[in-house]
Amino acid sequence: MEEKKGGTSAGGVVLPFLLGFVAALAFGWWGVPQLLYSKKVQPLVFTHQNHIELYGMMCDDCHSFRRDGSFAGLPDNAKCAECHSFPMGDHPDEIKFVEEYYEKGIEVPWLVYQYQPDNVFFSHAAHREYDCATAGCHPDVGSSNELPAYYENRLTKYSRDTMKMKDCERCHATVAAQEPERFAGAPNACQICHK
Amino acid sequence: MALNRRSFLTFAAGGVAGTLFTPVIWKSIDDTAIWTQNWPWIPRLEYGPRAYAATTCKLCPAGCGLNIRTAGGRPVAAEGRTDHPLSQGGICPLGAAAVQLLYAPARIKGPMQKQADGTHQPISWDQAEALLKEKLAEQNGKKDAVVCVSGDENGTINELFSALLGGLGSDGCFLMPGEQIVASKILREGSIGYDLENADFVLVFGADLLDGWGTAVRNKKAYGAAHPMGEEASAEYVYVGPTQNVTGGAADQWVSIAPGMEGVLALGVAYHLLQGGMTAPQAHDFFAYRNFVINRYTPEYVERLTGVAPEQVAELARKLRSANKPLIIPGSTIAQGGGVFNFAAALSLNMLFDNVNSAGGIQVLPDLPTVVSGAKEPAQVRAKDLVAYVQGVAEGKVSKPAVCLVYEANPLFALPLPDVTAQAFDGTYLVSFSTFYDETAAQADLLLPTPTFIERFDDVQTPYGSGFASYSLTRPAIRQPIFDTKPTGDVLLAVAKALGIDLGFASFDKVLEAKVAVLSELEGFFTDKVQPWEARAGKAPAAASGNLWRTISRGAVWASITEPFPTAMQLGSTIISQTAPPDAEDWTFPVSLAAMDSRTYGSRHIAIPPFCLPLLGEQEIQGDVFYVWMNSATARSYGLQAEDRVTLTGPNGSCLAKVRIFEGVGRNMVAAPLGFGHTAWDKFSRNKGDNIYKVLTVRTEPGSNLAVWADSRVRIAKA
Repeated sequence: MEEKKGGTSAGGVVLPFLLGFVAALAFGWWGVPQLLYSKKVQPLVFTHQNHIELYGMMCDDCHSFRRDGSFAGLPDNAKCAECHSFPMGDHPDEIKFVEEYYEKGIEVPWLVYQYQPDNVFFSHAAHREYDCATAGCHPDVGSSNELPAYYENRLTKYSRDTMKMKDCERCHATVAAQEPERFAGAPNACQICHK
Repeated sequence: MALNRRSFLTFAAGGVAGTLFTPVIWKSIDDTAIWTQNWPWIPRLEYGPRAYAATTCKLCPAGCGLNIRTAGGRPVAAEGRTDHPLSQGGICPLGAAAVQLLYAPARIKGPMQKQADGTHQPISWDQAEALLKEKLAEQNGKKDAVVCVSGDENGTINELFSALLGGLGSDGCFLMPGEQIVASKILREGSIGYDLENADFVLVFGADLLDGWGTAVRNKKAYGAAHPMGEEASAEYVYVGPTQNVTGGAADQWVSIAPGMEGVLALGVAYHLLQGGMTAPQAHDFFAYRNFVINRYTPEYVERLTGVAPEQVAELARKLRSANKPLIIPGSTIAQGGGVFNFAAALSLNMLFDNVNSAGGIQVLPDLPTVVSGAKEPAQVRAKDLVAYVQGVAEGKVSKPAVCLVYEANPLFALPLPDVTAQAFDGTYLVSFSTFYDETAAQADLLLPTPTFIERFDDVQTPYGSGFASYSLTRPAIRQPIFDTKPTGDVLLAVAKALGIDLGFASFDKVLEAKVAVLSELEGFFTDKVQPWEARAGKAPAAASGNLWRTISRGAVWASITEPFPTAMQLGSTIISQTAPPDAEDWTFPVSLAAMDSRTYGSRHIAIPPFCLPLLGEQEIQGDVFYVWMNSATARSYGLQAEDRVTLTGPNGSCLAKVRIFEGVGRNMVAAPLGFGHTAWDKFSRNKGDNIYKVLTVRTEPGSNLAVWADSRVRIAKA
């Protein structure tokens, strides 16, 4: 009987396999996201908490619907300057807002976690009945003291938090089915979003 | 464990297996797919704050209010304005295309000069203005050596043209043809308006009230208000015309009649009214009118000429008499080229009902005072007959102009017999101020593109057909003009200054400010709370006050219902008898051509916008051949069937088309749309159908000496 050379035991096969398996898992779950996303910080420090708790502002003081039902989204410089046309306090970002953006007429290039691609038609007005913060449509930053980091996909240039089509579809399928009368017209037909 | 080949392969196999339990593969495929959607050359939406700019449309003379919606300062859509009395929230297909036209490939991107090889090459504005100045200086003082053709019938820009030409010793300031030219033969001062909103019986002769004629969108609103859904109509509309066009189709009754015969039928109706004892004692010439109508326009005679049964004519007269506020509107189906006879005959019916300057009747509307020194009165400009002039030049009876300035007009396409027009202007130094590369611009020696109305300040004074005098402004809804264009008013002022002609203003904006300042001296109001037709019916508006420029430049509409001057009542018996058409058949050209105009087909100076192409059905154009319409009896008598190719031949030209059978066209008539067959413009508008202007035939109306072509006749034959 011929003798086999080297690595004849079962452990000799299993161990490299396991090593490879674990390395791939680590690479896939931890390494790739590190490579795929670049971390960006917002141009200015902004605290929702202060605005709400100290100054008693409401969400729709800044993130309001216009008369035509469209969503104003982020406030523009003019809106901020209703209070911040002069620095309130000596925080460097406060001064930066006034001097670098407001006075020069440059809108603050806020990083938006949730912008949808151009090929999607999304109306906030149609979704105002539904609480999207708790449903996971966007991060609930309303009570936070700082804005979360913004992760940009290096390949697609989209935010990591941009909702995927399957999230939209899931909600349209379940919510619309649960309360067909309240959410009439929210089927998953392509032209509902891609028009 | 030794690192050998086997353990390496096992390690790799483990890696592959492990990868299957991570999202790497699926995520990579997904992201790669999304990445392909975001390649840099794929067009992206532009984001920015949204806003509206209230302005007035200048694409046709109707003067509708438009809201230009902008995103990030970039116009994205034109919408109707509910606060504008001339459109009341409505919008026509052309107005809806306004923003798209801003970016049309046919736009001229800067001043250009024609080269020896016939191509146009860019030059600078300084060079362009110097060139224009030089050409005009050569003609300075020579009588009528410089002419201008303006396609803007309601703008103050015409004052600058006429003042500049006057300074050069020329009287040749012409408007493109329109109803106001014919109306000016009846009324020497002011213009005629129609108070549709207050009328309860509207009898329309020819005019396609609800599409291409006058204040079309306002007319539609008045028609709609009188025909509420599911309720009894509060006003009856009767359309007398050759085709079931939009007006003929919507009216409560359609009376089919050949183009050019409207006046005969109107006098046929007058016959019954006069026989019924109606009088107009306030008119100086009532008895002459009465004798002329009763003796000549007997029911038998009218039936022989028009084919309308005497009972039907009598019924029309009865309906008119039983109405409280009857309104009779004269016009031609294409809002141009009609004769004085048809116009005066239909207008005279209004006089019989004594509805001049009363609610629901015809209105004499004042022209706003001129502000540019040396400018001609609008009525003087309207009185000039461009088509007769062009015919005269072509025939050698009038001397050829040395320089022709063309502003927002396309005479080499949109005058009857465009070949004759081209021949008339051959050798003339042609200057085009058009912002689009139209047929005239393509032939022009110098192109000085003006910005579109979305990029400039301009104004609209009382459009023809409106029931009240009005004034509104257009204003730039965009931060920067898209191309290197310059407002024509500013070019004219600069050139006048260089020529030593003082027009009294430094910029066109100042001219408009002066115009607005004049309004404060007139009796007028803003149409925010009280509409002009409500004021006419007795509601009192608050007089316009405050800073007029500020208010009007932000979109407010100034209106007035003041009677400009006491109108001497005339039924026009002399002009009607002199201009009456000859009672003769034409056997060489036996078929009446009922040309059709629609805002879907653009306007006199705008080709069919790409935005409107989907509105053209497969019964209007297929491939590059368009359709003419005739009823089945007419088709049968010429051995034609639907889809057959046919040529329409007039005395001077012919067109190729396909046949569409449509019973909404009268017998022995062929209906054909204007606005097809462009040869310049861009790929979207070019080579679609054929140009019906080629077969329109100009005749001189006896008695008025007006050039008339709305009643053209053709020969049809299978092609």
